[in-house]
Formats: sequence, structure tokens, C-alpha cells
Amino acid sequence: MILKYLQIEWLKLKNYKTFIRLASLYFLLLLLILSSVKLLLSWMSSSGMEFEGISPDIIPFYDFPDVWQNLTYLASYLKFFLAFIVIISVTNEYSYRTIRQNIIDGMSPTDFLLAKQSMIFGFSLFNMLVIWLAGTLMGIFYGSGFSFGLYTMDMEFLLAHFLELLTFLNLAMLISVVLKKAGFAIIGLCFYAIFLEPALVGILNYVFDDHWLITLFPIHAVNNLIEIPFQRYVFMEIQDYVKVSSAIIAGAWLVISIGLNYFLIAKRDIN
Amino acid sequence: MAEYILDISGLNKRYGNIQAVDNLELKVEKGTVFGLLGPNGSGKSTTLGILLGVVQKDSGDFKWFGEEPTASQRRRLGAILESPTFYPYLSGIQNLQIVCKIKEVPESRILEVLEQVGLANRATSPFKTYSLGMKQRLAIASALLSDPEILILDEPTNGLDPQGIAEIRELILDIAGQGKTIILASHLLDEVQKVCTHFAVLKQGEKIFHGTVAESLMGNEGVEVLADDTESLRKVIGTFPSFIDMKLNNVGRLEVQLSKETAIHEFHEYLIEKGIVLTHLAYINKSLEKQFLQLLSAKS
Repeated sequence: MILKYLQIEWLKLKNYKTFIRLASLYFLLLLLILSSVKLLLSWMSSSGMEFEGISPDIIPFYDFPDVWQNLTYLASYLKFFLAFIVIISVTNEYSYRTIRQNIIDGMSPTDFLLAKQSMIFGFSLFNMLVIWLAGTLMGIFYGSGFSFGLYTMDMEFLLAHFLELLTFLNLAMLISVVLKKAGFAIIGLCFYAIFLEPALVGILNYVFDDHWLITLFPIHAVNNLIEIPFQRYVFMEIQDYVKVSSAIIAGAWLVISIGLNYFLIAKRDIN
Repeated sequence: MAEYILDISGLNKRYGNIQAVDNLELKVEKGTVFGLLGPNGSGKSTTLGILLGVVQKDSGDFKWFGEEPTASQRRRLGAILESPTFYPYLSGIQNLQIVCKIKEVPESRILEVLEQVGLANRATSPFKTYSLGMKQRLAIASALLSDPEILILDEPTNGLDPQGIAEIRELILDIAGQGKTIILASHLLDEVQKVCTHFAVLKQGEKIFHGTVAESLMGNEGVEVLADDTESLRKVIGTFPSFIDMKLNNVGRLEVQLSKETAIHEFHEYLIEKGIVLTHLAYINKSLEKQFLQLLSAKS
């Protein structure tokens, strides 16, 4: 059943030029960003830069288990590209009116939702596997040693990254289902995620000094899963684990957005 | 007892102030070619939208094949609503592959239906490069994929040229000839008259007429005559006892209304007695158009 949904979505995407371009660009950027720190550190050391007498090349960026948090944190910046693919895939169905034809042809609204969910699941899983593979290879080749215990330690960051993508992409789908136009949905997502919500969070922070409401905002919840890890290299304390409360809030947003997506697809007239 | 393939009872749909479908009752027998008539905005497309799961009804019920409606049931229908909708960047074949997956039909059907609608030679071109007629034929091919028991068509000849219209009509008759049920929504009365066996008329969401095309076309609308001397023809006809009305039509012939019980040979004999020899005498066939307009004006 899931396979059938994946096949349907794949047929819709594989010959779509915009998808091919976005996906190739995304994949290139992902590989680039995963290897960027190595490239950057090598470049810094080869050009003679030093941090208080320490060569940048010996910063243990790819050591197990730190590599998981480092890579998933970096990769999370690219989630907007995947969101754009999801937005285009969903809004196309409205602008071409193919969602209507799909349903007339015999899909139920649930089928339609599950087909899109299988695509989102596929992207998130693929992404997680690429980071897992990249982390494993880079950890082995550039890290300071391999032990199975350290290798599997902190692997929950991969799962957190998976949850981050699932939730973020479902929020992107929600905006698409509401706005129905690719341009509006992309602007809407960027405006909300980059400007509106951070501004609200900032105001709450300023007025109430770390209000509990802040943790409930959807984009904040998604970004909060994997905290920025890099201060540890300048000997500052970081949150080097995934907070259960963060995972629960992100999971709740995942459920809410899937529920709203279903409600909007099943209960509205489709014109 | 007749087998109903579609049974609608008490169906309602309201958009704001407008009652788009008003307590609609309709039964369609298996094997008929059913015309759903009505002016623009009479609720035809809304009704079909509800029947096909894309518009939410407010109340009422409908059954396909005597069963409660489900999505998988729709795989046994072939439907084309308004303009053909496909993924513009995909070819005809690629578009039909998606439909095959949804309808759970083997892909071997694709070439068969493309042959059937005469689109096989353009099957690999992107949909967006198709002419309107080709798009419409692809829509029909798609509707035929699952070899459906019912074909639902909403304005299938909209925007087509006369040749395209004739082709679609041929196709509909061809499919009807295979014993399939067809539901055809249209405001082109000529079209319905030529292909349908039964029809219903909607007005502002209400059903105002339901019957067979054959019954509605029984009888005639008077006679059409022509003689060398039109002026004296006019005078003589005016003196015929059961004469009601006459007018000159666009091809220079006189259209004459006589009272119903008049036998045509009496009229002809009368003219000959008065020294008029006709060069043309024909019944004016009843048309659905006239009846349709009468129905609509009578109910307002």
C-alpha cells in the first residue's frame, strides 16, 4: 500500500524539471555542507591560521559521537529546500487541479494525504540515511578513532533530525494546503519561520524573560531539537543531547499538522 | 424491475445564499444514456462533483451500484468533469500511468485506450503540447482505462471545433453501444438529443423534468412549406380552417402552425383546391431545445 503511494508520487515528480533541479541542488548542498567543516578547517590550517597556538586541523569535529550533532545541526539549515519541494508538489496539485482528478479517479482524501506523507517520509528517511552514511565515513576517516560504543552513542540526533524534517515538512504541507499557490506558500513559510515567529519569540523573551510559551512555537520546537554544538570547541557548555520535552513538542506539532492537513483535504470542497 | 446504477435521494448543497442542489431525486437505469440538462448555474456540475467525491453534500444520499459511496467504487467509474486535468509536464502515457496506479489497472491498458481514442501517435508528447481536442481525447482515454460500467461526462465537447464535437459524439455512441451507462451533463441540447435516451432538466438545483428523449420528440412542431408565389401562399394558408400561426424562416420558407388534430393531407388538398402547388412540404421535427426553453420559462 505504502509502496503504491510512493510509486504514484514518484511518477508525478521524476519527470518534473523543477523537482530535478531543486533536488540536485539540495543534494549538492547537503554533501557540500557535510564536508564543509573539513574543507574549512584544512584551508584554515594550510593558510597558517591558529587558535591560541592550536592548529584548526586538530579540532575534533568528526569524532564519534560529536559528529552526529555537528552534522545534523548543519544539515538542518537545508530543510527549507526540502520544504520548497513539498510545497511545489502539493500546490501543483491545486493549481493543475489534479488533486480533484486524483480523487475522481478513485483516491480517497486519506489516500491523497498518505501519498504525500509517504513522499515526506521518503525525503526525511533518505536525508537521515545520507547523514548517517556521511557521519560514519567521515568519522572513520577524519575522526580520531573508532569504537562501537562511541559510534552508536548520541545517534538519537539522527532520529531527532528525522523528526525535525517530518514535522517541518508537514508544516510546509499545511501552508501549501491552506494557501494553494506555490509562491504564496514559499513566501508564507519563509516569512513565518524566518521573521514572524523569531520576532514573537524575541518579544516574549524581552518582555517576560524566557516565557514557557516560547518552547511551544512550532518552528522554535523544530529547531530546538538539535541545539547548536559549536561552542564546545571554545570550551563552553552546550546541550549535547536531545531534550525529551523538545521531542514531545515537535511530535505534537507533527500530529497537529497531519491532522489539520487531513481535515482540510477531506472536509473542504475541492474545486 | 429496473436496475438502478445511480440512485440519488434528497440531495442538498448550499453555497452561502445559493441553493446549488435542492432536494434532488434522480434514478438512472443501467444501460441508458442519461442527459442532465440545465442552464449555466443550474447545479449540474455541483451534483456531479458530489457524486464523484470532490464536493461535500449538505444532506441527502446517493448510491452507486446500489451501494453506499466509497473511493474504491469510483475506480469503476470513468469521469471527466469540465476541462481535462492532467500533469502538463508529463506525456499522455505518463499521465495514464498515474491513473493506472490509482485505479489499480494493469498498464497494458494504456496503449489500448490510446488507440481507441486515436492518440497513440502523440502518446509520448507532453500533455501541455496537446490541442484542446487531444486533451479531451486523453481525458476520455483516461476515463476508459478501468473499462468502467458508467461513464460520466460533464460538457465533454466544450470548446471543441465541429469535427472534434462529431468525434466525441461518435465515441460516446460507440461506448453506449457496448451496453455501458453514460451520464452526460450538457447545456448543448442538440448534443443530448442526438445521443441520449433519457434526460432530466435541472433549474436552480431543482429537477423540473425527467423523461425519455423519444417521448419528448414525438409529434411535430407544424410544417414548413414553400411555393413559387409566396404572397398568394400566405393568403391561402391564412384562410385554412385550422390555421394558427405562420412565419418566414431564415431560408425563405414558411413555418406554419396548425391545430393538433389536422391531418397533413387535408391541408395539402386544400392548397391544391385553391390553386397552390407546393415546391416543398415537410414536418418540423420537435427539438429538445424548444421544450427545454418552454420548461424553463414555465417554471419561473
